[in-house]
Amino acid sequence: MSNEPPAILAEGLTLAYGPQRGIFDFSISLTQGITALAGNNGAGKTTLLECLSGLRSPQTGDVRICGRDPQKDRSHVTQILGASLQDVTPYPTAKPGELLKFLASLYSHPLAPDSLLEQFSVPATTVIKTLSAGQVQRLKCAMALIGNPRVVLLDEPTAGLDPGARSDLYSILRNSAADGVVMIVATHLTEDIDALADRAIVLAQGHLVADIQKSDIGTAEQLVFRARRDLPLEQLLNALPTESMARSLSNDRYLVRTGEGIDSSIIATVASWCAQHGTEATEISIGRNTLSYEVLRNLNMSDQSIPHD
Amino acid sequence: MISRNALRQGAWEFKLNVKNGEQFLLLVIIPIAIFLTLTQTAIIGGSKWDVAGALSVSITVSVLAAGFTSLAIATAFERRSGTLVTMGVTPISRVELVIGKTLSTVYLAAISALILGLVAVALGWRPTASTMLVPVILLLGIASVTGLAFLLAGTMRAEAVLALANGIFVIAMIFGGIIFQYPGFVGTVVNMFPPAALFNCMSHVLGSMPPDSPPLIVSIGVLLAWSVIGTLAAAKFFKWR
Repeated sequence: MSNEPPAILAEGLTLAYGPQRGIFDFSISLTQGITALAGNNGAGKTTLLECLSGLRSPQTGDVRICGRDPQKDRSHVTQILGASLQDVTPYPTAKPGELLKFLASLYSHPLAPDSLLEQFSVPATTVIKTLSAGQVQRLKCAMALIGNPRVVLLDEPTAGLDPGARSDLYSILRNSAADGVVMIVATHLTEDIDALADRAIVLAQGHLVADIQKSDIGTAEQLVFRARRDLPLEQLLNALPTESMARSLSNDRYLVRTGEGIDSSIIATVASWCAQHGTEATEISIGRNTLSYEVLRNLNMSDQSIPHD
Repeated sequence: MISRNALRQGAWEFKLNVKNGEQFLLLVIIPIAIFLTLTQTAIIGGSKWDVAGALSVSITVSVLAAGFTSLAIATAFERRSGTLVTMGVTPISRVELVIGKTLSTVYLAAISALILGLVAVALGWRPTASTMLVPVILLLGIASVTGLAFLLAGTMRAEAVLALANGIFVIAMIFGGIIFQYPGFVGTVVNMFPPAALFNCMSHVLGSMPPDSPPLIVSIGVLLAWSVIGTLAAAKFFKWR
């Protein structure tokens, strides 16, 4: 078991379109679970997925899918790899049922097309070009899974999905991961990261800037509130228990973490600190640290999307 | 040897094509309309055509429609929709995808030729020994234009391919040496292109050779040359997205 190669291995991968476009010296090894691939637009997420799936040749570096080169050993890798690409509407004049049956015929051990369509709530006999964006998105995910793959790469699979469909998709993908499928899911949505991923890798201008395991992040409670900008945090820290952390976020928000959780005395301390500076703490929320928060922190993005329980 | 995946792709493409009403019009209705117009009226050329001559024209038109116009347009729109890239992550290789698409055009052209042949028989035409060579000429004709179809589809925007492929089809029908023959230097030049070369080959094997038409071997050489040129150009310039 320990001799089994990683499901996805990239070493020193570079594919540059310009000084800040593409991916640069990217390395990763994934053996299990769902990994979120996060980054701003143009960060290199799609380029990375296309390199991993064998659609693009890196200028330097190596890719291995379960120990095999996706380009040199394409016939083997395509049998164990499923991928859903962005901005694609496959065979617009076909019907989902017939398309999945055709695709299933190309694989050695495919899943049943009908049950997959049912699972993804995609009508089998509607022409693809007349499906809604969400239905096309779900069909693409079904196409990625039809070959019963060991490795799945999904590029923005929840784009265009309503909350109910997104939740259903999470459930299907989590079940696949529980069955041993290793996935990379490129996403912009913090909700996707927290609902799906055990791990997150963050790209910025083509460089890997963070590789975060869910198990490694603390789950201590944190307090977020809005108050006037540029208040002196040193005074607040002095008033909080030792080992506390306080910092300002964007949009006039502040974050407080303590080693002992957030209780009424902490809220009172914050309120008092604000009052001392002639302002008021509003929009107070208490939550726990999340993978998406760590991703956003690494991306140095707005905290507006940070979810709080 | 054609791989199983290429055969599956060919069958899949064929299935999509036959369900498409425009394809049916292009591949069956238009060639039959041309065939009936030529044999039953004196609109073109001042007198009714003999059945074998009209059959040569209409089979040539159906091969150009299937192997060039229809293939170029379908491939260009699949390229735009991302279908071709999507297939790049399945067990179908790019070569198998191209072979599958070409097979689909062979099936379509063969069915169209069969229907036209049956209509011709109904009008009194009877096949001869050389008719057995029609499938070979059909394959050569398709090979001579599919590379050019892929070249067009793989290098231009889908809308441009739609306009250009239809435009070339109409120009080939009218000025391509199929319906109207050209004497002298103009005729020699026109005969160096696939539409006229295919028509000349088809006329030879169906026994309706027009006067001043080049020897069969020359027209076969022209089709082979365009097959090589088109395939090499498509292989070099085709972009999958």
